[in-house]
Amino acid sequence: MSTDGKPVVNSVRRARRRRSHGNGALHAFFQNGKAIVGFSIFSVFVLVGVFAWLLAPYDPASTNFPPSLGPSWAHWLGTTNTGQDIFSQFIWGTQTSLIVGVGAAVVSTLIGFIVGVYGGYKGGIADSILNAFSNIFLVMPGLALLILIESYVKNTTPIVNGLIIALTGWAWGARVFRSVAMSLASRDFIVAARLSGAGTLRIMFAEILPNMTSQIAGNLIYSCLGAIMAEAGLAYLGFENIASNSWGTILFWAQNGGAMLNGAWWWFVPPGMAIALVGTSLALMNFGIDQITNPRLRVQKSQVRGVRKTDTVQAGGTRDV
Amino acid sequence: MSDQQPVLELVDLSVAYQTSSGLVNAVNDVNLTIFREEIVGLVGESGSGKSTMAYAIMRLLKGDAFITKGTIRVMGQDVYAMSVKELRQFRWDQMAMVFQSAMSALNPVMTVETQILDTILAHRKEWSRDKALARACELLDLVRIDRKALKSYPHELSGGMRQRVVIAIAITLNPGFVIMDEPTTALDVVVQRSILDQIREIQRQEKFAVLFISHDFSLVAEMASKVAIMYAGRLVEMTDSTTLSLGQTHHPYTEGLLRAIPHLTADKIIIEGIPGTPPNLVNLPTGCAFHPRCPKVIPICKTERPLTSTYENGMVECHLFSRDKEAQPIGN
Amino acid sequence: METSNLVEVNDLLVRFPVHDGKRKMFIHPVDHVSFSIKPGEVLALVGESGSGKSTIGKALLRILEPAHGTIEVGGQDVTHIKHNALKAYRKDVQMVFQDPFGSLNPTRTVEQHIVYPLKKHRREKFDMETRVDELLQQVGLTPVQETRVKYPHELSGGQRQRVAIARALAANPKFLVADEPISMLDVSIRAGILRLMNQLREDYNLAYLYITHDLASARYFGHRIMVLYGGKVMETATAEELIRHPLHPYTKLLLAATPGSGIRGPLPETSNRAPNLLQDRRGCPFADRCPLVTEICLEKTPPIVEVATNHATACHHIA
Repeated sequence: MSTDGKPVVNSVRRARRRRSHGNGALHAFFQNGKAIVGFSIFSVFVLVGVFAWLLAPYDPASTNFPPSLGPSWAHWLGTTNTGQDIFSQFIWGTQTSLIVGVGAAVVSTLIGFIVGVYGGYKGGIADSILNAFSNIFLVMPGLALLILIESYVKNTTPIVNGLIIALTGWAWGARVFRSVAMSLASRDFIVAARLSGAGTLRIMFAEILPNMTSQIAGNLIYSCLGAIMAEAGLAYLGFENIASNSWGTILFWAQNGGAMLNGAWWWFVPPGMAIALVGTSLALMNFGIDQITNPRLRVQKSQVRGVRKTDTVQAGGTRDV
Repeated sequence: MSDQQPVLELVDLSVAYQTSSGLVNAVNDVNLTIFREEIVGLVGESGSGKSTMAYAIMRLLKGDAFITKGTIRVMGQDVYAMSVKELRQFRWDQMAMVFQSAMSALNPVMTVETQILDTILAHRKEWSRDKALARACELLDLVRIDRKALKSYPHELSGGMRQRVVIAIAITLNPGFVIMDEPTTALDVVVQRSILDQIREIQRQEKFAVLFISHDFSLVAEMASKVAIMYAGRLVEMTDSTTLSLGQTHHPYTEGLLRAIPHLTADKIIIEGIPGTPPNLVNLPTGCAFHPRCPKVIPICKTERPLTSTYENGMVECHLFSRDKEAQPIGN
Repeated sequence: METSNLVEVNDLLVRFPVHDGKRKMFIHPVDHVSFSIKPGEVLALVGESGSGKSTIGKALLRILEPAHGTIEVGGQDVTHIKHNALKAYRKDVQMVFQDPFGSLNPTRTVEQHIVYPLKKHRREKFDMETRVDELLQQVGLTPVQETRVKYPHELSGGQRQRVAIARALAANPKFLVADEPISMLDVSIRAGILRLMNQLREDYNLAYLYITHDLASARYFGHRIMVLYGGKVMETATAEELIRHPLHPYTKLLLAATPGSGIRGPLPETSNRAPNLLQDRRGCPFADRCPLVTEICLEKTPPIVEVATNHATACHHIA
């Protein structure tokens, strides 16, 4: 073996890359038409957010334009009653809303994962305490809690809002993660990892996490959706620094500026539509997650590719029963 | 033997699954006859198609599995020529099945009594409830469970008791033919033994034939009079259990299996496994499916499928046997 | 016998709480069990479900903490060690599981399963890649390069069990607990696994606690057999002796029930009740199934008595 060590190692590496587990999951995800559509819509928004500085024609805060214009070539979505370019606001708002949504989703999923998986894996008193803690967060009405916190933390930026949303919205995910972790914890491979010398952190992140990709992805998607809506809601209700720029604040100003009364649809429809579209795209992507959930589907795929010749159990055995 | 009425006749039976990678043949050209009051053992590893065969006989194949060739006759009747209504009557009345997992064969929210009575009354509509109840009690006596168990729910019974109930339900209507698919695999040895003893005893009393499916050679050799060995969907050998326990089998796979299990009382114990792993049905080896694992492989095994050779004690599907038979006529 | 036992278990008691209505009760799945294993020796634990055989294995690996008694491995008392001492202990003791489908992480490749314990339990310098190859070769997973990158679902049951064995070996243990390692495998590959374990025993002077319900494989693989019932030791003897000259009524029952025993006729038992494991039970756990039962069996727990060299049994009616 050691004589031809190097080329062998290289080929191993290559093979590893080719057939890594994550690729299989992604492959399965993109087998689903709905998931592709959802992913495409979401990607458009992400691109808009990332390239906001290129796409936005004007400074969204500048009030140098004639107020209350309708859509025109110069101002695609018209201007506000204080003379700001709504299209530029919308573009920059996309960035803010996505950062808040994705950021809150990541933070709340991480908290939910740690709380849920630690409790579910460890069991005992740790689990009882953590579970009680998540139940308290679960039964508290989300929006009311947010408004309560917001009224103490005045004039928050969208980022702070996102954090608050994440800190109050992790409990549902924790519950899901806990139940999956509990069933995984009783599996022998977790015991084997312990015997191999793995500590709690490694078991949580290296052994349990890869087996929960679908739950994690699902949770990310739902909390992203929730966070975007909650942020928009808070901003619309005025619980956000009114100088900030998000879809919610646009709606807040549209409401304040009487856009609905004046029929200035170009002011309030685009952010509303965007929220609905992002929501739809996330929901569509969630369909693709089901594909990842079922490992049997992936097994069959790799059979078609002819990777496996030795496995009988899957081909005959499972059906055989 | 041959002038008796066969209880089960399989003629060239083939079963296939429709999968994403095309048709997969789980059972191939199986010919098998079971006569009245006979216990025939069917041995095979996972994926050998033994359970698929059982489901095909019961006409319980689901979803993407179907019979591609051959006929199945139970008590002289073609199982697949019946209407659904006839089949429903025929199943359980004439042929029954005992599944491996008693827990999933029983309904967890119904008492044992309800489940037995439902089975009886569904098939014997003219029977009164009292008569059915009397039969249920008789059945419990037969499998030696206290009649009090009638009022119990499945989860209140031990694993052995549950499997006894399942057997009782299978023989409720005096079927002529019962398939037992690994009926004791999940049980402890002592419970297993007492249930097997009971099966034999009841079988002698009620005179039904049994197709006894198992992966355990020594168990089958004790239970059955004839043993069929299945490999990769084909019946590769069939012999009587005396020949089997004497080790006078002909197929290298059977020989390998016999060497692979430690014997409880043999003087010297050397065991060796069969190299390799059971083949994938999707991708069967050419020729004889066993050839990549066979210690006695000859060139023809790789290219041509062996034909079935029959002799007085059974049949075997192996090139070595047909070659030897040509060289010296069998009969000794 | 007197010299250098690798594993010494003394008066081991494991208890689990059960909630019986209002009262909090304990069951004793392992009830005052003692045994020892020498380096390179295989002790087969035989019993039915509920006999406590797997629980003893878990206690030895310190997945469970015993309520009473001591476990000494290599002269070190490991009964109540924690944290780093426990991690260090697991270099010496590893496990092979029953279910090869559940004991490997479906998201990790074969080599990932082996590299981690190699790194974690590394005692001297060696080349990781070579060592992985060696281990895979040793457990018969060839061609090595192909196997390394496979995921568990691409392997057959026997191959998975070999990976599990390689993983256990990676820690370079002195002692393996094998909990029904062949009972879920196909018949044709069981022998291969048993032979592999035996080969490793010879190569590394590994000691095994071989947990099984099958007397035939216990006889093949075990040097000594210990028969358990209801958490208590019924009989211990060398494998051959136990099969040929069983003394305890429960051993006789087990033997009669094992396929291939050649013993026909009704089983020597009076009921098929499951053993009572509650802490307040009295007498011999087998008493309510035993054909020899007398008054004393219901009152007094029989002591374990050595009736011949290396043959001990716990029964009031023997010796």
